[in-house]
Amino acid sequence: MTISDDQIKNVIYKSCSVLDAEDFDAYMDLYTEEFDYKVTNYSREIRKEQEWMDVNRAELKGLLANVPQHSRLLGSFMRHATVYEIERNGADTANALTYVTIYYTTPEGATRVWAVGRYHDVIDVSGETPLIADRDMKLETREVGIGTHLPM
Amino acid sequence: MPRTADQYLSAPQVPGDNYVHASVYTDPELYEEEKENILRRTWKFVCHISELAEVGDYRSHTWTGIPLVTVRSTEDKISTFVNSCSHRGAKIVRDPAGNMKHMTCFFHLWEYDLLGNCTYQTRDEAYEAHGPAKKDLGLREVRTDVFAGLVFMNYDGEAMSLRDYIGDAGEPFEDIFNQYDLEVFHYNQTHVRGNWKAWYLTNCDLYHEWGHLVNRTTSVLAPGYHDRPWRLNPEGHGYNAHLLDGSPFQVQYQKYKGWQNRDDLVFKGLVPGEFRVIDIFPNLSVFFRATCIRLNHSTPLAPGHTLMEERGLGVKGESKEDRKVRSKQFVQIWGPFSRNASEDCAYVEATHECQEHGANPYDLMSRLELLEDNVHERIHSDTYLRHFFNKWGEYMGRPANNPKNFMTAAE
Repeated sequence: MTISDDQIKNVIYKSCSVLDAEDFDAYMDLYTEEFDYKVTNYSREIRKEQEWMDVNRAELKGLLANVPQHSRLLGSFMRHATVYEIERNGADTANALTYVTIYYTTPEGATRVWAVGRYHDVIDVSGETPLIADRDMKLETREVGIGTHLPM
Repeated sequence: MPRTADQYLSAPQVPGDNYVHASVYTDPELYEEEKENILRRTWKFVCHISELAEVGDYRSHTWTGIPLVTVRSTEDKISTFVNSCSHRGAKIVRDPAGNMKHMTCFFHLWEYDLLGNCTYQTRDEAYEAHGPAKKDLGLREVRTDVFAGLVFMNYDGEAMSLRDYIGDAGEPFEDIFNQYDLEVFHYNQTHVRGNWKAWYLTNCDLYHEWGHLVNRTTSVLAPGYHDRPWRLNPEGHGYNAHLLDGSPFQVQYQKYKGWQNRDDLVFKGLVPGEFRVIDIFPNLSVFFRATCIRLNHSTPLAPGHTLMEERGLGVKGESKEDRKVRSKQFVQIWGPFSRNASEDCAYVEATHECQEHGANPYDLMSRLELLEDNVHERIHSDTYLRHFFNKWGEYMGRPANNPKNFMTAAE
């Protein structure tokens, strides 16, 4: 069975909604076993590409399991995503480009834009459901307030 | 038991240098005095030398509200100039970093060479008759020097040399820095709602490690954690690099779920997992975590507004794979998505929220834990915080525990 573009879009959108809800088990289920997740950007200050987060499954799983024990930014995030492009790489993978705006809402209810960026995803389409094999969240934003423990 | 308002507002019953008044973090007049008496008289960290590798490479920045640009003027000279055109005062260099052959003001196209000489005035015949001449219109140069690859500047031309200023605080990092061609691979900045001293002192207050899950998990139960002494330098610096017996302290990174030991890529002169921190007055902190070097510096913008800058150093020319590992281990602790630095920002902002309008009148720093030698204080002691504010008091000419009343009395 061929995975449709709509199914690819849905896995990307679900990755946003389950992370908004901090349903970390559901989030991990959207990735392949061997995935690589990165947050990257280009620094105009040091004139270099840089990686602000770089985790595999074991590392992300440990990180998310520990999140409740960390001193962390209170409030919530909402990720608004639009898939711009899907390109097939043969039968097994597809590349997807998604523009993402992340809103942050304080515990008191005030909302502001926290960051903007683009998901550069490799989607595994070889199985019955699409899975994210690699995600590079390329941030346009280079200052993210006090930061966060969560992937974006 | 709860305290009454009078009890709450009265000074803590401890020696005078064991607490400071919260106004040192919030008062606009004290902040203006700090700019004059401390920030314009001490050596300010600018950037790492690798950011100025080629002739013409520059970094723009600000200090005490003054726009500045630091540039490699020649192979052998790093210069800092007030980044303001001699003509109408417009900011000349507007990008944070780059490479330039000369500095051109975008307003009227006046031009300066990399040594700060004014070399071009548009339609300069009008000035030839009336002046001033180009030779009298160079940029204001600010004293600049380099120590172990760290570029510093100082507005005060009479201040002691940078090497004398850093003194023995350079010992835990100078040799390690000098044996490598280092470069910055990580940079991020954050505007923190808090005072610059509160940010810096969070780096120096190692008692706060109990607040971080990572530190509780990997450090505080590790052998030797409590056996490290603070070493204090007369210029206001402090550092802890070794246990009292001279052996290193090793963090157990593998104890945090999903992390590995840091046995590879360890900088020469360190052992796997080794941790060191060096705090340079008034606000540069240098950290080692075996494979990673962190330079943390801040720019005060207002009493309750600070620009924090984070840099990670790696070895220039190292393989892509090694750089990936080093970068990954750096951002685990100190990046914007890390387990540590974002928590520090939260601590500083939560403190400022209470100090800003007087909810908490005093900042207590009375912890005193002596090591077995009954001389040195353990890293959990507040000895460096007291040391910092004693130095602050010397520069400011007033005690940090009662700075405003002292001012009134003096008047």
